[in-house]
Amino acid sequence: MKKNEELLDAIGKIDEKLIPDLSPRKKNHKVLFISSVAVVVAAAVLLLALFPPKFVSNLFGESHATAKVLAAPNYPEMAEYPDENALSFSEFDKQYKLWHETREVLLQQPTGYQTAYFEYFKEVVSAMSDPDSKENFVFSPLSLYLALGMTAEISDGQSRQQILDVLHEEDIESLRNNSKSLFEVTYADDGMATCILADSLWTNNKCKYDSKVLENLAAYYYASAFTGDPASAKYTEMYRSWINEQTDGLLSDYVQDMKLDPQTVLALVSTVNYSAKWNIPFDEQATKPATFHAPDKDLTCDFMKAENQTIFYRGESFDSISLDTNGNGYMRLILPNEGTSPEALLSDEECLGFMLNKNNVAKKDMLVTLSLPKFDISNSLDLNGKLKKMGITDIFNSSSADFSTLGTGEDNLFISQAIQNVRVTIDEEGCKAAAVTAMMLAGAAMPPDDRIELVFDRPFIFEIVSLTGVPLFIGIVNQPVG
Amino acid sequence: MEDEKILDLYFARNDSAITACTEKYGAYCSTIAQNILQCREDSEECVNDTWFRAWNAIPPARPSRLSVFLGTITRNLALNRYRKDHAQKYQGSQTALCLDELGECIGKEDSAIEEQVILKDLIEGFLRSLNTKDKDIFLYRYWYFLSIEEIAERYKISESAIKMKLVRIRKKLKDLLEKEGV
Repeated sequence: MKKNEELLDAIGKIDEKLIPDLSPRKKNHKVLFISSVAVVVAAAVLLLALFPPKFVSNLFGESHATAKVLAAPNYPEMAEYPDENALSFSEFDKQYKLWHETREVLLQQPTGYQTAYFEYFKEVVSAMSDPDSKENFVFSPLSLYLALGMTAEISDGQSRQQILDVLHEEDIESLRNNSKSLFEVTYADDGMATCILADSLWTNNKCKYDSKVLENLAAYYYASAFTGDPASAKYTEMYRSWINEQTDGLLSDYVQDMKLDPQTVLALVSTVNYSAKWNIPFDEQATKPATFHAPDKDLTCDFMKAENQTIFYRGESFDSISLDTNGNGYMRLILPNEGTSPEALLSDEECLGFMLNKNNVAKKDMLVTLSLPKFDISNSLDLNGKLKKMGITDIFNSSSADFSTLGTGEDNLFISQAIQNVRVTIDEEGCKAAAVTAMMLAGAAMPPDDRIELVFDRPFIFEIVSLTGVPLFIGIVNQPVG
Repeated sequence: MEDEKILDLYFARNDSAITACTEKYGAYCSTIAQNILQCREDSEECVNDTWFRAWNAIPPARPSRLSVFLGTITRNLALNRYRKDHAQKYQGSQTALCLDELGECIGKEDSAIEEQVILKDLIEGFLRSLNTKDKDIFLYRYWYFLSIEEIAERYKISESAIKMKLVRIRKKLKDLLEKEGV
């Protein structure tokens, strides 16, 4: 075959995602976020939308004077993913179509919405991790991005500019639009995939607030805003309940220790709750205990095993594969070479580019025998010091912070608390409905021409990436079990 | 009909999947075959063969983009026919022009199968390095075999502007392939 024909053939084999549509794509202008509960500052309506009745009655009993909701978001509406084991073919087909349609609408976003986020990602990942830590690390760059965006929204002047600089956003409008896009492409709550992002703003009831700003926060950042007396037990209870509610109680160990300091003027909380089903499930029978070489000592933990035809990546100082989930992006696993720490890789240009899908490392389609420890890791990151190091300083200091946009009329507002709690668990569960798909994938794969064994028996990095290539979470597993 | 529904029909081995594909993607696949062969009769045969091939491939395959999956089959079938029946038969098609244009980018020596795999990876990397518009223009030309005129019409810019863009993109590709020794 002539070379130019080979070139033509090679073009025919490229990743189908690269190929443009031939007919102009029709834009779907369906409005998703209008519902009967619009963004208003009336507590009763929004409480009904947010909380179970028990909570409402508590609130309207003795706590009305000390705690209330100022504004709350209408989260993207999603059709439930149908249960393929419980439905007839035609019923499944009908429900699947509805699910697929709502998902497609959310995935349609303007081009370039990720550009600033990617730049921010490269800097924030190393800034948030501690190079000397031997503990687990879990962080959601997206959640922090949204929380900072929200802070930019209520601030002005130099306070706002410092945030825009860290987020690599030109102005507040582009930040708003990009935040909304990022939220929509990643938010999932459909019974199959869960990626619930939630932001909230806890204010002091001695202040007044500009309702327009709170409406914007709910509209662009899906943020809930609350007010109350930080010294009251009821407000603290509301604060804890909100976090538990958003995270299905998964963070309850942390939440029980969280409280609002009586001096709190403004607290910013960002929570994340992610779960998804593996596209190709692990066989529970194959899971066996084995040794994991943690930084200080060897641990025994359960290793899941799988053998899949997949793309294997090799960088200068790491190996990697990705585990696909059913409809909610994928988890990328990065195993540093012996002698390289995961923490060091988070500042490595090649590794960061790889995490952003820059296609910058060698890859090969191979039969990969994977051994991966089950893990359940969590942490509570105190963001104040880390954000200051990144250049966001003014908002933490009452003399320099400019929160005039919030409309309180007070000039001594400042961020007194900025934390992020994240928990990530992986195991064989959540995969049972994927069996049909898994068979198809295995059948469609090319026969193996090579194989490799990849054993994650020493500290490694994981990254959870959305369908659209947005890194949602990043973590270092140093201790798979407590 | 939604792609997912069509795929479900394939999986249920229900031959109305083929009717649905013909209705939804018949014109799309015909355009590709016609661009390559410029012969209505042969194009139709390629498109008919496409449905047959798709029926055998799905399942196990469950393509994420059915249009491109079918288009790829048509493209391969049409290119094979083009080669088999010699280019002379298909005067006026875009294929000969595209082959000439791509000939500028790459050496003349035959290459091993391994190199073809590398070539695909290089092209993917190359396309990802382009901005979306340039990438799309390149693929409208060399994946879909659209004429310069059709691409210009699509972007509402002059034919010479498209030609210049393609020259620049091919130059970049040539430099990359030379650097990689392909």
